[in-house]
Amino acid sequence: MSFNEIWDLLIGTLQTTGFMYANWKHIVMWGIGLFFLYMAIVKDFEPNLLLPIGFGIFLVNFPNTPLFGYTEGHPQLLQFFYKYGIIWEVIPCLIFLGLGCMTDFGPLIANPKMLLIGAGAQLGVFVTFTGTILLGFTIKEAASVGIIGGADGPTTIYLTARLAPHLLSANTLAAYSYMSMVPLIQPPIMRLMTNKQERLIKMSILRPVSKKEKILYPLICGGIIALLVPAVMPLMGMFMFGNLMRESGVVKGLTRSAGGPMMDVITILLGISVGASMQAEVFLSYKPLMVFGLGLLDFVVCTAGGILTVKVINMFVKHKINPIIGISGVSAIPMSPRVAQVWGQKYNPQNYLLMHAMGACLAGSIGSPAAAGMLLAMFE
Amino acid sequence: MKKIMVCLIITITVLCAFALGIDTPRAAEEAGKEAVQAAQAEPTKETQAAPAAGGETSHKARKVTGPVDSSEVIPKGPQWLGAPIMPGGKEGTKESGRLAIEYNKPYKEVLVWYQDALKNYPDARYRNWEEEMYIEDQGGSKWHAIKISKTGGPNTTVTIVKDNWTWIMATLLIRFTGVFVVLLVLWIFLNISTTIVLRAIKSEEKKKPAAAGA
Repeated sequence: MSFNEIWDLLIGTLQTTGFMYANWKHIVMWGIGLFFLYMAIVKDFEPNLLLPIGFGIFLVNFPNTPLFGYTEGHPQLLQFFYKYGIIWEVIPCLIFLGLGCMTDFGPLIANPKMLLIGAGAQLGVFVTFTGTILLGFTIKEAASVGIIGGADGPTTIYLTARLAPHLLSANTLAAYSYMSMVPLIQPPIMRLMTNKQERLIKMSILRPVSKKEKILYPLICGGIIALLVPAVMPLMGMFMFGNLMRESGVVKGLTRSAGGPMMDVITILLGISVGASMQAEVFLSYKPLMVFGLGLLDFVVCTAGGILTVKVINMFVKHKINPIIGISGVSAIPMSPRVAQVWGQKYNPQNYLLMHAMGACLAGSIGSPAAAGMLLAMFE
Repeated sequence: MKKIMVCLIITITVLCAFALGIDTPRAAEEAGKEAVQAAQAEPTKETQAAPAAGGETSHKARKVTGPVDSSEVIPKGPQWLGAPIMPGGKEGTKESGRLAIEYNKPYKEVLVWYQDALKNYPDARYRNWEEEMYIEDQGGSKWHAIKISKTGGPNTTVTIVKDNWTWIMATLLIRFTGVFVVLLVLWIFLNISTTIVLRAIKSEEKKKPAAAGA
């Protein structure tokens, strides 16, 4: 064996490794991946999502790894999950099915006034849309960034996959990041926009809701959304289907599976696919980075929109609503209602806001797809 | 908590400043480009390749590269804000955000020309209204719409409208109100169904003691 042959062999072997192709962008992405893993493992911040997302980022940002590309026209492993799960919009719809199986709409049925808070909290979606256009985004990109403020991960994925797929990873990550930061972001806004007297407003206990009402709800809600905003029926249809399975009580096995093991599997696929889509070449540009800034603004305005709506409602009703509940108009279940409950009890330990806030949050989970449907209607 | 909030705000500000430093807003960029321009540059390799690409390949390319500017994919010739201009017209009214051109040609001929010119632009949406064909841009171009008016007879007027805030704000207001309307309708129907169900339950409860008494 000549020296040249040995040299060629060594160079050839070296070229199959990742060393030859790694650059600073990969190192930055490893850092981001490790940061997410740190937040999930050490800080226990939304570990169900941040752990797979973080590891997905970490995995795909090693050069030459056959994970997120195509081999002879066939999608590689994570590309396969991403393409058929997210681009084909299967995962967001299945998440809504699972959520429907886990959601009790009782608090919203008992106090349907909360629906208005869910609508008001979509203010940020539309305000950010305008701000995003000002910063040089296209109308479709602006619409996909705007929906982040609704704090509704599946809806964000659904809308972005349709309107601006190149922003999918950034938007999804921003949506889930701000959902996990609800206890940090929402209380300062609430304190800024309310006075002590308002925060002390005592809420009465909600009436019990009968099983018949709960069974009727997915049919009524599904029917109305199908008539008014048909574009979001893949999401809302699955949501209401899951809820009907739960409330009917006749398919307990299916409900348990859809709300439990299936949700776990979907969450794993979602997390790792979203993480994998954050490749250095795509992610390290100005637009995905700006999405984080705009997403925060969006979330802040949505929270403020919920509080403002409560204040407007209070001008017209006899029994005032505690404006702390307004922060739950975004659909960050169950984090936002928990925050409302904790802060409500700080001012009045006898005040139980949890179920009212859950009602507002459930309204947000309908308002957010409704807003997405309105935006989709602009383009389809 | 305060420290985290401060760090978060600083990070976001730095990111925004970084982003703003890289790219100036589209509106400002285009402020000085409102004159009718003749497209002089030869089409780039990507532009030439775009029409040939089809199916999944082109779909994938769009996902990676993001929105397309119509000026990159329309045929060589006169443009205004990246919108194609059919030759042979007489320039009518011209304002900062609008350009009207009159043609001594039938509506169908003008329409076919514009459809052909925009065939490689994926973000053009056609709305066939009674009085005009409204071609709306939903991508990354600087024009908002091309209106081809059916003036009747041999004359046709084409109006190119720049992206404008009136449209953006109006459409947003309508859609935000739309969300309220959707949830208000749901509220009304929930109230109706609740009333009906509660009445039914009450009447059932009344019947039960009566039946037990009998």
